[in-house]
Amino acid sequence: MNSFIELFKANLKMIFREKEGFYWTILMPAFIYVALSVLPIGKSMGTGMEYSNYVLPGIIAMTIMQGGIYGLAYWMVDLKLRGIIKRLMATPIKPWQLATSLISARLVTVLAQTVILTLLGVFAFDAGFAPYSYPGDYTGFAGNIFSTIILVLLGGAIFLCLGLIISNYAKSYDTAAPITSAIGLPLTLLGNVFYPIESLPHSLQVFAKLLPITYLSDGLRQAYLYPFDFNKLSFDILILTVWLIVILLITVKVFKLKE
Amino acid sequence: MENVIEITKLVKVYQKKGKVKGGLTAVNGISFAVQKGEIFGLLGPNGAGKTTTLEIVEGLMVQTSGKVTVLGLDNLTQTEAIKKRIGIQLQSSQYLHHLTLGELLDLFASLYTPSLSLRAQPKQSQDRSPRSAALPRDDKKKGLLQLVNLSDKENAEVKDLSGGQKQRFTIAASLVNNPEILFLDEPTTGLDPKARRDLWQLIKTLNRQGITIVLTTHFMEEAEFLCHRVAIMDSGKILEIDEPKKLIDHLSDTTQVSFFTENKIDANLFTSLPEVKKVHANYPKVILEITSLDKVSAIVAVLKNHNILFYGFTVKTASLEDVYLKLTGKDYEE
Repeated sequence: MNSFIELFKANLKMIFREKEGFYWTILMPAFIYVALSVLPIGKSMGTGMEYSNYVLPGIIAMTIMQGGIYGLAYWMVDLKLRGIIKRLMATPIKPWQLATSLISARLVTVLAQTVILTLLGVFAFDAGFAPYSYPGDYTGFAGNIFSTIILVLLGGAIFLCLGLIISNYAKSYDTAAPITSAIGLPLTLLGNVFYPIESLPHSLQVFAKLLPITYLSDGLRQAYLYPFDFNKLSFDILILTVWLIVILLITVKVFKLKE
Repeated sequence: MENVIEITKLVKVYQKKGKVKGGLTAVNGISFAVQKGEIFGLLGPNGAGKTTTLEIVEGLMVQTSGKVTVLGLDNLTQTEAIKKRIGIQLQSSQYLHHLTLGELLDLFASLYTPSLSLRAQPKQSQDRSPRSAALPRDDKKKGLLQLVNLSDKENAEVKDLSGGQKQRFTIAASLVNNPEILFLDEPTTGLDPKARRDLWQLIKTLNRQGITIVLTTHFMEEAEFLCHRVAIMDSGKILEIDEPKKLIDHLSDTTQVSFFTENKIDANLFTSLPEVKKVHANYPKVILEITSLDKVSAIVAVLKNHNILFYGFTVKTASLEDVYLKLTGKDYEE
């Protein structure tokens, strides 16, 4: 446990002391969100609501996905290429301790990104976490922090495990780039991030409904923009849990810490 | 003398992906033992199998066949127990970014058993040696940094260190668990002469403290200065294993003449001379092994008679480099 905690802390220090990388990790999604919210492009998306509201949970889901697929996979490749994995494996540390410490530290980053984007959306664009008017006189409150945390942790774990699996097969940056693009691009374009999947052709809708990011975006939208509704949220959480179990099993089966 | 490492008929074949047969044999049935308290050197050209052998012993790689025991523990079934009792300095001296030397030492200590952590030590020990496991965190960390002459760099990052300082820090990091055996893989490669000699002194100091040291090196001078025994490897096999002095004594009847020529010359000019035992001509360098020192004049006469322009003419008696050259047939700089 001591090894795990120290590695977790070391990973956090590395992430937060890499100022340039950290700023871009935080700033780029925020910039994309602001640009999409102020430009008049959202009106043509058929979302039935202010685009700044619709796209905030999508951007957060996309950021979580990118943190795993791009962030962790490239970081692991870098650690491998610089011989650091080998140096760590020369100690009695177990591979799972190293892998879980990396994932845990990255989950903290994902939570930080979520908090910053949420604060930006809520305070600058009134996106979510606000009073909600039902038809009739009844009003409620849209936004549920607990559901948000569950969804972010589930999504983070899924995509960080995916990042680990990618790093298993990517021996260099040159091999990591096409693999991450091949996986990241369809997840971004078909994953319910920028527009509803109902606006896609039917065949792509079928594919989109298999992707975990579709349910992460949908779940976050439910958690941010509507009053708590267990029935609606539980479906997204169930699908994400199934995805997490499957991807954990694959990670345990295929992931090896090697040069 | 007690053996701390025993290697028997060790074989490592790197298989090509998807193929059962063929592949590259990096280590080809070697056997040797390392004794407690000695500095043992593995010498050989690139691709000789030194690093592969070392990494198998360290538990970083699995052999194809053969048996390896370290401190009486089997390398395949008791890998973790071995790792707890050895220190490793790899060829690459890269570390995690953005962590100071002090933080890295803390981290590495925590990766061993909690009792060896630099953090939680309840009692002050009487043993003030930098290697003492019972010292409190800061004393231990400062002791290690002092040992490698980096006391003023505790808050610096590895990227801010010079090549020699980096190598010294890698040794400090490999000592956090008070190892009984320290493995050094080409510890002085890329260092300037001053930094190299500083590191030699450090290695000698650690050995005097009772640590058995196994090192690989390209530098014959280093092996001759540091090692109690050396094994000369080539193409995955051990060609000779003994004390450097004994290996050199076997060649004591040989004197070596070396020089550089302006133009390429015919090596046969010298092979016909009875005084010359062997010729290594690799333009512009020529190395001749002659029977005795008083035959040097005959070599100079040949050079003059054939109007061969030469420079850097040196004469020396046998050294470990000559042993290496004779056994491997390769110049160690190749």
